[in-house]
Amino acid sequence: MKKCLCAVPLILLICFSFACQDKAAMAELEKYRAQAKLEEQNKAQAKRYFEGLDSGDVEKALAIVDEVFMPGCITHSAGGDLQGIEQVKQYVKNVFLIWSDLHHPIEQIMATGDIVITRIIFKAKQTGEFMGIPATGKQVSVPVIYIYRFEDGKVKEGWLDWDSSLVMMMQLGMELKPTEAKK
Amino acid sequence: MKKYLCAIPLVLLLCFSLACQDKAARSELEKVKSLAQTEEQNKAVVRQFFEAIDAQDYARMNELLAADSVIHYSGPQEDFSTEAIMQVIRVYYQAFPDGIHKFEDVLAEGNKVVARILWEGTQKAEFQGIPATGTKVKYYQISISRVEDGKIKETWMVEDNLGMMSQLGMELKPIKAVKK
Repeated sequence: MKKCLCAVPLILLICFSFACQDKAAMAELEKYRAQAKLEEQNKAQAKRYFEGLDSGDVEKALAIVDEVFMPGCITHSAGGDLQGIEQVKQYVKNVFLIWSDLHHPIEQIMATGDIVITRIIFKAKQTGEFMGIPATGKQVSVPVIYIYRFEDGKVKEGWLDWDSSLVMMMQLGMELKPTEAKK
Repeated sequence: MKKYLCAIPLVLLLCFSLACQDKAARSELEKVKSLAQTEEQNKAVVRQFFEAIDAQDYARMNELLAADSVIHYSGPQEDFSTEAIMQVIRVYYQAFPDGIHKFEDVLAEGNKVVARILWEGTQKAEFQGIPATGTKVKYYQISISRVEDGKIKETWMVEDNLGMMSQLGMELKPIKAVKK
């Protein structure tokens, strides 16, 4: 009888030591799970921005910008940088002036750390002047890749890249020609 | 006395169930760590591929690019096979022999690698009908690559071609209607 009772503390000791080892592992796993959850939230935020543009309602799109972007955000593109949320909102207003039937299907969306990457297809009809081209009524469809860095659930910094020459060359009736020397 | 003896199986059961739960957690953690390692390897593959382009090392490029890979650019007619893209690269580097991919950011999620790149090169020879200007051009590219077993299988690339062409003295003009 007594022999069995002596064994019990030993068994309990072994069980506890296993539990302690796994505590470190559990903490690490919890960190990964929390990170994965954050990444899903950031992806959802990125999607909302495009949903706002696709809603056809400029006021709705602007309200969503407030929810998705930080006041001091900065977005970099070949066309220049947008500094601060007011410039993002101005950009959104311009998009609605130039394009109708906006649709941004998301082809790919990925998240890693505090970054979300989306590859969308920009689909729209040109109903306003764009880069010197008067409204053509033509449809464009061009891939754009966005990289957004999030902080506290909002976009702090972004980069986007797209082949604007393709939009205009193939789709809006333009072609590349040597710049005429100014006389 | 007997009461305590009855408690022992219960305690042992508790300990075993805790150990089992942690086994599942431990294997999940192993999976996560293994994925993180794969992501780092995939990032290295993509970096090395662009470096091989700059070194004009076609043998290395063929090691890192799957034979049946596809590269998607921006237009519907702009899907390139491995062979076709090698040819495009050859043409570019004939015109821009000092071409270099500068990595601004390289990110990975699962089997996808995203590279934000600043490409720079000096136009030393004719390119797309434009005589050598000696201009140093620079423009941004973002690529998404799907990497499997250490090789790039599929790439989606966007780049600021308009930026590059305008640096070479080109601009967009309305297409003139052809008079019949």
